[in-house]
Amino acid sequence: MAALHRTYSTIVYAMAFIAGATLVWLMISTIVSVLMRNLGLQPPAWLFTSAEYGILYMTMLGAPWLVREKGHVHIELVTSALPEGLRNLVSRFVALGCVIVCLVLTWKGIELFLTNIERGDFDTRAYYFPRWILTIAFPLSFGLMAIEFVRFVVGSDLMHTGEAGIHE
Amino acid sequence: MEWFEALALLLGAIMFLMALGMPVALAFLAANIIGAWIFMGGERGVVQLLNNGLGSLTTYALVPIPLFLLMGEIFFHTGLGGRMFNAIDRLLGKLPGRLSYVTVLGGTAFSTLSGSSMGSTALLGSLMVPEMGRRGYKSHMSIGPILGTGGLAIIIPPSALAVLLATLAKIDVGALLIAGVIPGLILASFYIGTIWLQTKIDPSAAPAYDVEPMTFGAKLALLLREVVPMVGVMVVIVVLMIQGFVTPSEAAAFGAFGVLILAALFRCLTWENMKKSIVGALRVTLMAYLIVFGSATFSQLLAFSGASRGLVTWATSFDLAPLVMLLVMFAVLLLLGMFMEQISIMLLTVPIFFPLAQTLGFDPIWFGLIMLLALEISFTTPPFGLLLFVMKGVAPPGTTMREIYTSAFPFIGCSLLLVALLVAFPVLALWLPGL
Repeated sequence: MAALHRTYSTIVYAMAFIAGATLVWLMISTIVSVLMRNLGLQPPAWLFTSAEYGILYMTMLGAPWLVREKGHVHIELVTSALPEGLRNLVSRFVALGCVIVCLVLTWKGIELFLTNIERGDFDTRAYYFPRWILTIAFPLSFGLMAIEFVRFVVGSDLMHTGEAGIHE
Repeated sequence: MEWFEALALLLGAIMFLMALGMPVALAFLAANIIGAWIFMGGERGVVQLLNNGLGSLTTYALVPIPLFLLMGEIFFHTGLGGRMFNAIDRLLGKLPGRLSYVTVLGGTAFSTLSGSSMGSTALLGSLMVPEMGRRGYKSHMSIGPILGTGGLAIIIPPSALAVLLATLAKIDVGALLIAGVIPGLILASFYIGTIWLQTKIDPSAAPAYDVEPMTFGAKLALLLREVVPMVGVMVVIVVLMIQGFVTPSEAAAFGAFGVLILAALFRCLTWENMKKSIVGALRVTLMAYLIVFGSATFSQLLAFSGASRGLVTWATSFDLAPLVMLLVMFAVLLLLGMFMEQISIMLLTVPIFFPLAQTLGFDPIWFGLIMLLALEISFTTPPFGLLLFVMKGVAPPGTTMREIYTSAFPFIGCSLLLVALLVAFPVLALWLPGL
């Protein structure tokens, strides 16, 4: 069990690492394409396309890590006004709501991913890019987000602190 | 379902979930799922939500957001910001209320470069408030200017929020960024005027004290070494954008790269700094992008359910003067800003306000700027303005929320005055982008 837990954590952090590296890539790819253009060279189309797809991957791969870090902005208005016992309950209930949202998107994400494979869909930009390579990010991301939110439903750590205000 | 019922359902679901404490992005997704299920054909609607999200997120126009944030984070974590701030402090010499001016000048440059109001408010709050207290300044002389300049970052480029607003509203990103330059400078000068007035009315609020004198040559050297390169990065990217040499995405990439080179030249670039900067930029970006993920579906839902059209028809049926309508929209933004953060407000209001603004004949760039100002003001509007809480978190123990609220008011007044000026003279915003 401990090994499984460790492996899972490694996956969440590895995905966040890729998200961070993608952020740096957005900078590099843009600079390289401008420099090439000014040197009279034609920048390869994949420089541009990789930045566009990069935004999607960055968001999806980093999102579960952000849940773990409690980095998703939330407002503590009701929860801060409640007595501790009730706050505990509401906080877990809200986390459960997040789990449900993520599970619905995971379920439909798998469906979309399978449909894309079955139909052989392509995303048409500068290249024909198999769409499933993009849409696989949805079930992966929302699935792991669901697991991360489950930790706030049943774990000892709560999503809400009880201090009024906007948290991030 | 009538349009107002659809609108009440969509907005009501988001507000309810957010008020309960659900993360903002998840509250939007939840409302989108409910809406997609009802208005877009059940389960198929949810698949459509994902497809829309794919389309919204693979948009090149979103590139400046993480890069402007990265630029600011590097500036912040490497200590370049601190250096510039200290230099401005020493350059001003002996002047009544000097530290308040330092806060406005340094804070404007800093918050603009850092592009993150919260980051700069946190830094300036923890740096300047205790220092100014030690020098006998009353708390409103330190807290007020910091809150004011923290909010300035939203309109002066590089502003990540301006990019997001332009993307959501489908208006020219570069034009909106450039439109903020002159109003931003006017606002900074209003702040300076406010401090001057405050020190005139109550000289004891900001007692003068002796500082080590500097020769002109030393001052010039300090200016050239510690201020010009940092501000230069910002000026260069703005000029390049105005001239049309680079797109906003390219300007952001070069901005981030420029600050990176500066940090290397000043020998303050470390792996640790880089890691912190990337993590900082990533946190804000992910949150914003996840909200963008649901944005297309949210606009579609408002359109499919007839809510946008219904609301626009209803609002224009009163035949109110455009100015009154503008005031109403402004008031709605301020009201929302009292308990929500900026990105959510944008997502909620852009699909409704921009069509309405178009019907009323407003210039979209001008209207975008007014919206940004409203968001900036709502940053510091009691009781839940985000910056007020950031300030409470970093101010010395014993600083009350009441003190923070009263310090913020004169600076909120300045912003309102700027809005009035922009309404009277739209050219202030539109001249630069029109060049």
